[in-house]
Amino acid sequence: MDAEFYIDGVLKKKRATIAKSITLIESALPAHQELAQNILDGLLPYAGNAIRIGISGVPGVGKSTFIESFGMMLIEEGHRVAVLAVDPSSSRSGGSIMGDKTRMERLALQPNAFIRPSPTSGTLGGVAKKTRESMIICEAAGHDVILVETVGVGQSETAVASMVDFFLVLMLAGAGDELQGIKKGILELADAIAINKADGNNIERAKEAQTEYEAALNLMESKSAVWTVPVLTCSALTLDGLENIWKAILDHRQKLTEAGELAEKRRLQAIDWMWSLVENGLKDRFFKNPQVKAQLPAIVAAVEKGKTTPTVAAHELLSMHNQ
Amino acid sequence: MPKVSMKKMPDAGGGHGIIAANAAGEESQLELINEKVNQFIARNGRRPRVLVSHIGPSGQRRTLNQVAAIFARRGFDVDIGSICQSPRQVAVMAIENDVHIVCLLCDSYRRSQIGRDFFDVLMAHNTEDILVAFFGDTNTDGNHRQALSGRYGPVGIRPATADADIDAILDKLT
Repeated sequence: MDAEFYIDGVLKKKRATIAKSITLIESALPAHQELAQNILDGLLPYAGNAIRIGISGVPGVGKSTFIESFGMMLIEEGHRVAVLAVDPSSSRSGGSIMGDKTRMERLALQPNAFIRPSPTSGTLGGVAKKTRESMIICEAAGHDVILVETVGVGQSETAVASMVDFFLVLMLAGAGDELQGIKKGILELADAIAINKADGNNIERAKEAQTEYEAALNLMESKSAVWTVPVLTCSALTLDGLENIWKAILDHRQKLTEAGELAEKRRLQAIDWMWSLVENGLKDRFFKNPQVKAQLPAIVAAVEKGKTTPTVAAHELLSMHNQ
Repeated sequence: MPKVSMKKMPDAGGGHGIIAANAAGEESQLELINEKVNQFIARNGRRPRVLVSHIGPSGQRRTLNQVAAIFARRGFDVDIGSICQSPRQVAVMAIENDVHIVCLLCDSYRRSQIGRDFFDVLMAHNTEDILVAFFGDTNTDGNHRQALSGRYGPVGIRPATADADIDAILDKLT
């Protein structure tokens, strides 16, 4: 099958072809990567018009349920929604277990929705590379809202924030120690904070948390001249507040577009993307270097046993690569 | 709207009971499977990917998680579907996630019934190369291995012979 076949299928919104194109992007085989690049080149002119939204939060905050409810609301408003789940759990043997879609049962059945969880293990190039490119496939297939789900731990949230227009951080109220517990870093990335599970007995606590987060955000320097990060409350269960979050996203888009900040953001993201590709390419070449491949186990063992220092070992490996 | 959210994700080899006891597997057989999985990755650029799902009116999520753990322990990427799904739901998820195998849990009556709906959806999307496996004692006459003869079509996986069954599945994918 050549690139034309995939490009044609994606543009015709064929579900199986979209899925197979994403698989090619995720594949570690050079032949697949080359084909994937040709597909992306062909699709690039049709991409870039969607609203890209990153959704993060600690495990248990209700990301998947939120995406199910939020996605359904958007579908009912006539949007085509794609969900890319970035950081599923991995097991010790290298295989991954991906269960996010289980909690998006209604959304998964919608003809205008496409949900794709991706395994993180055993792939070269990192999570961000695959997701950025998968986003292009989904946009070319006519999805006008892309939701990228990421677990709010580790590096993936920074990676996701660097590829979306709007980064939504979900928080919980009443879990105690809200402000001590959260990382300052994630607040800096956020374009909006939403206190989820604001339903039943939790409404009062959600409102208290809202005030606390607003106070905390006041202390931080705003990253945009035209946008103040709002703290909202919502319930993915009762659907309260979801409409407000969508309004905030549209408002953000309008304000940043008018001020030229959105175009600037995407320009910077493109540069960021280039550097991450360079980084991945260097890493890839390093590990494929025959001399490095041959010497690596012995050098790692030497560091483990304390026979050499990490600095000397790293220097040795890098000089092998330079030869 | 789901009233209860399933938060507890299975760990490879986790859980208790007869299925979990087999999740860990024999070391020598695991090595063999591991080798085949690595060969598969070298050829296909990714791990074998399996969707584990349940079709029918009643089922246990616990069993679903344990079957997922059996595959994950052997180096597969595993998508966990839901319990009580329709054949169509499972087929759509299999296509979107682009899996190599669908492992279904269902009773023998459903096994004979799901065929048309399920394969119709796959064929409509030109994805009929997805291998279908049933979890459990698929043939009461004990000759379930006969079902392994075709390139496509139902393959049985039983808790007691999980390693040999998964080994046979990998041979079919190769």
